[in-house]
Amino acid sequence: MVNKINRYLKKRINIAKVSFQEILAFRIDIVSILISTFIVTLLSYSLWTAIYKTNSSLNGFDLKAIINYILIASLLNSTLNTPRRVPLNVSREIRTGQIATKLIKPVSYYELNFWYCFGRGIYFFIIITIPLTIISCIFFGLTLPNTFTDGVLFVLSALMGFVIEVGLSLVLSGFIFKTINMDGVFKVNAFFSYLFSGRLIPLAFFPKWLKSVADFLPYRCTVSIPIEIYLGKGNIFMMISIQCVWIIILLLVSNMLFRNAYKRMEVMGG
Amino acid sequence: MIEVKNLTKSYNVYDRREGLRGSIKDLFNPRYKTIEALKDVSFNVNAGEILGYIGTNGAGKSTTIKLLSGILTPTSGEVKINGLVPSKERRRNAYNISVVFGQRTQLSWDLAVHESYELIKNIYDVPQDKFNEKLSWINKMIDFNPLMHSPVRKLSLGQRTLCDIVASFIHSPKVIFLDEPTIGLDIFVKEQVHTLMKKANQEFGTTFVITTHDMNDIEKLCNRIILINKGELIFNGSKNDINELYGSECMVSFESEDIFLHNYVQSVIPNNVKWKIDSHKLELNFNPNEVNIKSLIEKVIGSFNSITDINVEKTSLEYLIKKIYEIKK
Amino acid sequence: MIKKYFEIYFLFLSQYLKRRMSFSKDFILTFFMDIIGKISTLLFITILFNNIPILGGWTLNETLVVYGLALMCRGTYLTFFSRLEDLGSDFILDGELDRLLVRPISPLFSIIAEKVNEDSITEVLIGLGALIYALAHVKITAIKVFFIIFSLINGVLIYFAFFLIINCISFWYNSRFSIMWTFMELSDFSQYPISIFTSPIKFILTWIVPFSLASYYPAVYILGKGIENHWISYVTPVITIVFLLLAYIIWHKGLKKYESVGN
Repeated sequence: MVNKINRYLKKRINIAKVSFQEILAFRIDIVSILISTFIVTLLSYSLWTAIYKTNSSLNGFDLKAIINYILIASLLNSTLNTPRRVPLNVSREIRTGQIATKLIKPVSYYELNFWYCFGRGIYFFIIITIPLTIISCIFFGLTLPNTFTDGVLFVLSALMGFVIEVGLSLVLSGFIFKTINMDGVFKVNAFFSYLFSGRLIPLAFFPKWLKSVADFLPYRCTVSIPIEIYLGKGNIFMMISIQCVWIIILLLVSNMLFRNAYKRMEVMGG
Repeated sequence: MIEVKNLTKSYNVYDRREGLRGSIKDLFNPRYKTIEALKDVSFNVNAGEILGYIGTNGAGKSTTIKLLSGILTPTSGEVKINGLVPSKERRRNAYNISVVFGQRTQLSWDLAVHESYELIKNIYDVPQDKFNEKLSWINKMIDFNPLMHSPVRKLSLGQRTLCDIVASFIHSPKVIFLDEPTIGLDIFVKEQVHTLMKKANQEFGTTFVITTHDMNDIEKLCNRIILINKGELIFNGSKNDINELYGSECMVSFESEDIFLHNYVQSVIPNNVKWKIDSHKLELNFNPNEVNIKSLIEKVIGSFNSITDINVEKTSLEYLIKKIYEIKK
Repeated sequence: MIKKYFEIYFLFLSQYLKRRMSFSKDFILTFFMDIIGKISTLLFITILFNNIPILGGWTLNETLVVYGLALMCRGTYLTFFSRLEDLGSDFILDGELDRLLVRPISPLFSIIAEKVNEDSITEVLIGLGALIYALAHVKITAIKVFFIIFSLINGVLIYFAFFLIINCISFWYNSRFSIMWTFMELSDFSQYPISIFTSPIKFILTWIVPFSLASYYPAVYILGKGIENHWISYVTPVITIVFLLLAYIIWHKGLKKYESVGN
């Protein structure tokens, strides 16, 4: 009986040991990402602290709010990076012809990419976002939302934002099938994403004309809206509705694009 | 030209421990072990010689080349090339030497071959006329011009090696070191390489030091051979020296329709000839200095009626070198 | 001797440019894409100053001077010296350094001359644009122009010295992974007037990771800002020389180590 337990444990401990050693091998990459993000956050933090030395409130944000803003923006960004890789992957797979192996799978290429984002997203959430959250709390004073409801709605909104990011990436990927060279478009999209999601600076700081452009675009749903909910600002109901609308639009469009693409692929012979 | 006295090179390497606990221990208390790459090696190379530096992998060949070219500094002992100590007077020595690394090219990957040569010409201060002279001389021997305008990354391994070797000639060095230059080359390119080196040796008196374990290289090119084993020098002499010192053997084999019979063979074959029977095959081994091949073959043919095939092999250099290794163990 | 190095470098450069200049339509497109990728901080500063008139005593134009200088120095460094970051991987681990050691020219020179990163020129241009825009509103004398040119040279040298030291670590700790990029992120701090930051950050960015010597302190002199520690503006060349000497020593120590062990 004791022997049985021993063997049971040994096997599992061995598995844990091997995966720990694998993590040890990856550790340099992860540590470098964490250090990088720490430095960038430190810059942001120091900047805003300096800005608020002579201002107590700007555009509806006080110091605590703005600090929370930049911290959460960074945390959300670390997970949102995963779907952003999809267009690059698709582009590469088409170029190298690897896409052929993926197209014959029982699950559609569209869904393959869709669920890839979630799998990978969870992985990076655990490996990077959680350590970053701990660092943010300890070093930069991240605070919890004011009410429990705010917190729950924030999580919901963040998830929806993630789905929107996935949708956006899939739409972009869908267009690759039409025009092979999309590198320029990707770069512009990355820039717009950075700017209009609120990652660069809260949208409230934008000049009026820029803000109205931002309101039209889906990018604000990924970072700006979830954070506003976290901080308890703005019309929560309206913001969640906007997210719902964008989810529907993006998923429909991307689905359509992919379906067209399948037809084209069959015609071209892969 | 090249003087090597009591050259020793040893260095400390991380001795990594196994397993998870080992890796953690390594972090706090790293262990080192000493590797002796070369032990007390001494030899001289005269101007105009082509030296074959032979050894198994890990014997210390590359280390020797690096020490001779000044890339490494010796732990103890002396190296002098044309009176200069390579590791101390690296710049001056650089004008006298060239190194061709077998697997790595010194040419710029994206540039056309002739552009790399322009760079080399500039780096070594070669006057334009001498540069043109050199290239046309080379072109006479191996048809080289078609390669000149091709980017290096588009060349095959053989073509690249050829270009590397040509590159090493540009500044007319007194000594050229080649570290396993013919690895992976097909016979045609190998021949071109050999031609180039032999001609350069004859016309310009360039000294060559080649590390290799390709017997073809040694037989075709080298007039002197040094054998290295586990960092120690075990032989230093000419090819003839090997023959004389370690004896040569000749092997003649006969095939017959009938089976060779033990007793009969023993009565026919003289005492100083070793023999072996394998039913229809008879193999004889002997020293051609002691036994006359012609009379031996005539005797065998006369004694056995149904000989169908004869095969004569003079011992290869490879065989002799293997013998030296075994003797020295 | 120096003339020879110039000749060789010029040859490297012309061959490199020949290769890169062959595609003109793509060239312009990539150029604009590059600018879009690098313009974030400039946008941030512009939008920020839309909301507040002054940051820690610095106006928009004054901040842009610091920003412009920082970008020009770092951009120039990245354009001409970026091959250094491959020291650990290509040259030490893969042994490329061997063939450089056999040549009659400085191996360090060979490494640097091999590659020009024309990508980073957009960074220099953005910085130049910001600088010119900002200085149009400031009284400029001939001395100050000379000072700016001098500061740019000084700044690039500081970047060079510092990153040479960092990359030399590969001589002792071989790894394919370069920690250089962590320090590149630190240089982002020097795009802002560092007087707004806390003392530890100020100290580190002045004396240990001296990027502010390339942007902030020259700006202090050019704009005539009499803040504390502005004497440092006058001694930046001295600090640069110290770092260059340190880099020189460490590089040679590193080479010695390579010669005793190889790769």
